[in-house]
Amino acid sequence: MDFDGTALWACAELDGRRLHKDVADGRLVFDCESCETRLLSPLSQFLIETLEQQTRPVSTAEMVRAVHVEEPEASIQECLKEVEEALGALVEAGLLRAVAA
Amino acid sequence: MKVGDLSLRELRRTLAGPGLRLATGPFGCQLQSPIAAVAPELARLYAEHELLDETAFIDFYVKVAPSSGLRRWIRPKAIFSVDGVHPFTPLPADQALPMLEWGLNWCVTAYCHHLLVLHAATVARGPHALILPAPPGSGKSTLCAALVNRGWRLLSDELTLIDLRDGRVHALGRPVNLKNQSIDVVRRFAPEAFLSRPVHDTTKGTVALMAPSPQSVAASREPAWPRWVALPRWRAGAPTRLEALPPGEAFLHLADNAMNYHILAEQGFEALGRLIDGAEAFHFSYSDLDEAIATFDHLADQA
Repeated sequence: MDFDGTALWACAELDGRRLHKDVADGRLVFDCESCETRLLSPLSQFLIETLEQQTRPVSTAEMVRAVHVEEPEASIQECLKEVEEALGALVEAGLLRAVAA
Repeated sequence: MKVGDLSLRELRRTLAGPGLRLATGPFGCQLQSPIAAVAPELARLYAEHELLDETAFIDFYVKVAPSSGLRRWIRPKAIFSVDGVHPFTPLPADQALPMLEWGLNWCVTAYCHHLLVLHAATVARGPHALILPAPPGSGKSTLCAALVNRGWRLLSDELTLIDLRDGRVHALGRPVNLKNQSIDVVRRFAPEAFLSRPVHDTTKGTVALMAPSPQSVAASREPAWPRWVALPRWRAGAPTRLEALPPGEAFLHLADNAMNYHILAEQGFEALGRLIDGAEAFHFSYSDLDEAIATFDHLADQA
């Protein structure tokens, strides 16, 4: 997957019902159809919440900036690396989709 | 009246005839077995269990019977059945007693979807339950047996029953399954405990059953609140270490150890969510049982 900062992201339209529960170490997401449970990292949880607050797709660069605001001691490069990993996990979990620019 | 109030002759006749009706926590069980060797050890293992009268509801009608035909004399086998169904292949006749225990566990996991069933031991101090979920070989049953022999109440060594309505843990109060080296470890640790004769060459290795303490059986209808979850890991020479486990991770471990999580679906997710909200979770590594018990006693004293 190519994260160059301009890719746009939106929450996936979920085909089945999902439940979630926020816990100290992230967000538990339960897929009611597959009965699979995932634990999203706090960063993944933050990214999902950021997307949920928007009515439009959000770019990788915007998410990196949002993370950097929360974690000013980390460099942009560090934030980018972490965001890329979290985006990959969210796509794999079916919670996020890439949007054509 | 308790099982221990029956003479061995009465117990044998009941097991071979109409069946022994007894309460194990929330379940009524009727046990039948014409295999003569079952009665003496069952008498010790279930001595404190209350007998049920003929009007009591029975959840599981189980039987361990000898095989018929040639198998009756040459390498005899025992056959487990519940309500006339045979879920297992026959086992050597000397495994009849452990087979009865495994069969009762099977009944709970196969039929009891009004509860969330975890593959975990649970013990309690006062109203607070300590849940020990772990795969075989982690020292779960050994630790459970040790705690029970030092004042903790046994709820179950194998199946933890979570009430879907209020989240409390129901007790089973049945014998503790010990395997291989843990048999001698528990014998040395608690020589006063009753352990059945070891049965060798089972699919789990050598197994023996430890009788639950009288106070555990007496309180087996009292549920307890989940207060701690500890994932035990025995390692030779390991220092005793209790490390906090984040709740999300604890949830995943519990879900992995839940027998019917996929069947209960949303109810299972919600039940485990409530459990981790109310319980502290830990990784627990140990090699010394006395230190392990001191660790959990300390936790309980602080609760």
